[in-house]
Amino acid sequence: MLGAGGLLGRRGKGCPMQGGRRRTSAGNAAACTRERGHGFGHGLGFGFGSGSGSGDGDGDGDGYGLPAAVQPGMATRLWGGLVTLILLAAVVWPLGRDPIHGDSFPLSTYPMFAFKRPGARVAIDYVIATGPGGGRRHVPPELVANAEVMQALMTVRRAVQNRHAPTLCAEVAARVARDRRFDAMDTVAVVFGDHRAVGYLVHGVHGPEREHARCPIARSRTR
Amino acid sequence: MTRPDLALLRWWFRPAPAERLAALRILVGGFAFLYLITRLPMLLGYADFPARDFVPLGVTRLLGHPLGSGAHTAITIATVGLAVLFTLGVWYRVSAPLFAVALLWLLTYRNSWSMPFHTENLLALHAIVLAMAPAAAAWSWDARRRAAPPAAEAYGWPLRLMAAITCLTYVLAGIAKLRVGGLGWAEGEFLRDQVAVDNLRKVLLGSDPSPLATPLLEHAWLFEAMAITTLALELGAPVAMIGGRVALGWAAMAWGFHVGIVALMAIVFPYPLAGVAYAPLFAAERPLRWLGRRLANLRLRGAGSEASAQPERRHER
Repeated sequence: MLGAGGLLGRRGKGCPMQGGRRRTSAGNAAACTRERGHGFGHGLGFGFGSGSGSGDGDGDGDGYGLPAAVQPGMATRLWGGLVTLILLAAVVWPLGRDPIHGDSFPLSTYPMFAFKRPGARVAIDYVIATGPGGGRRHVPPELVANAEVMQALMTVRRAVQNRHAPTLCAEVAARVARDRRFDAMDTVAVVFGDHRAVGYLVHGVHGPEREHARCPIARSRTR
Repeated sequence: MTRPDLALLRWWFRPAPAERLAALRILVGGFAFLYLITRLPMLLGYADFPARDFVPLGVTRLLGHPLGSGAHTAITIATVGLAVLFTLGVWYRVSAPLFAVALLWLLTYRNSWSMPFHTENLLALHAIVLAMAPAAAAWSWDARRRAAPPAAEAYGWPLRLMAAITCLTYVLAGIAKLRVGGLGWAEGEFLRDQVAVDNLRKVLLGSDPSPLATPLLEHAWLFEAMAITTLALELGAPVAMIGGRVALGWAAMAWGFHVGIVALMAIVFPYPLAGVAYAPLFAAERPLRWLGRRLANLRLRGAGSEASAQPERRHER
């Protein structure tokens, strides 16, 4: 595994997997390329990558429009080493932070599924619609924020924390009024519920709920 | 005698064909384009979100408040356009860094409205690596008049860096579980509670829960087995760097792990599920070369049938 290639001077000894063959005898990288078959897009009319296999010849090929002579092996190693060190250090840097509260993007502690959920308790704010006959329906995330469930969760949580629950309630009620799935409902409420997940899902046992805001669903006749 | 550190460096800078790196450019760029285009309404929708919900993360901490609607829309559209240039390798020296920065900004901005989602981190990091590498030396618009260059070190290290980053993200996820739950995380209760909580949250927030979750919740032993497997997979991710069948085995397990997450929690990690996250571990140019040949053959066949139809038309006249 570690034998191919060389750090200082021994370049390209051995050939990486190409076209289903592995060249293990002595030979340089250019020889490997000469054995290559057709490239991707050969004859596609798109024009790039005929890759018919002859050696480079024009001295280009670094992808930056620089002749190969301008980017010798040492420069490649220095640049590659620098980028490698910086990016690997950046990716592991969150290890020094709190796994839950130190999360960020794209440098993350990746705490998903690591959280402690004592008793599988779910104590969150959410939005429901209710109807005159005791009907009840949970309002889907796209009518609260967007299609992301977690986005909806955070939108409701922040609205409640910032005492904007009545505003959010009115905004959601306006969207619900245009949605036919909610035709039998006449009220929207932002509520806090405290449930045990396994009990709720497996045995249908619901916990207590408390209302933050309630508002009517006002429908225009011309909908 | 070979010093281990030198052997490691030799391996890290082992030459690779330019087409392999180009294949990753096409896969990552193509994935990013499709990802952005299919989520365009959602991404553009952040322009209308109330400022009260904005909690900046990462690079968006530069902002004290959300971007104006026009600026956000312009960045979103520009990122989609740059994804096209990046994928095709057009003006790569300029378009690739611009794409990486734009993608980083856009994805960070999206994650700044609720919480980090962890589904886009690898995409952003892989785009950064590719932007710093000569990934348009083959199979690109820029290289359309050039033969493919010989295998070189410059095409090798970015592959290994992308693979290492993929593996490291799994290791970090495993470490986070141990830091929060200790070895007790492996007993399965954390995972079972997580699955239950996640599904109930979906129910309360009006979304669809996983149909598999509720029947499985009553079988605690299943979650213990899943927790042990998850930890082994995450902490053992570096074995994939060995390559070959070991990498294939690990990638297959990691992919299966994400399928399991979809089945139990209806949480989709598109980048690993599409297989792009694991592509740096393999000779990614082979399937693309095969696809290119198939398309070329189809085109030749089409041209052939058109040519054979021409004389008949002449006879008809």
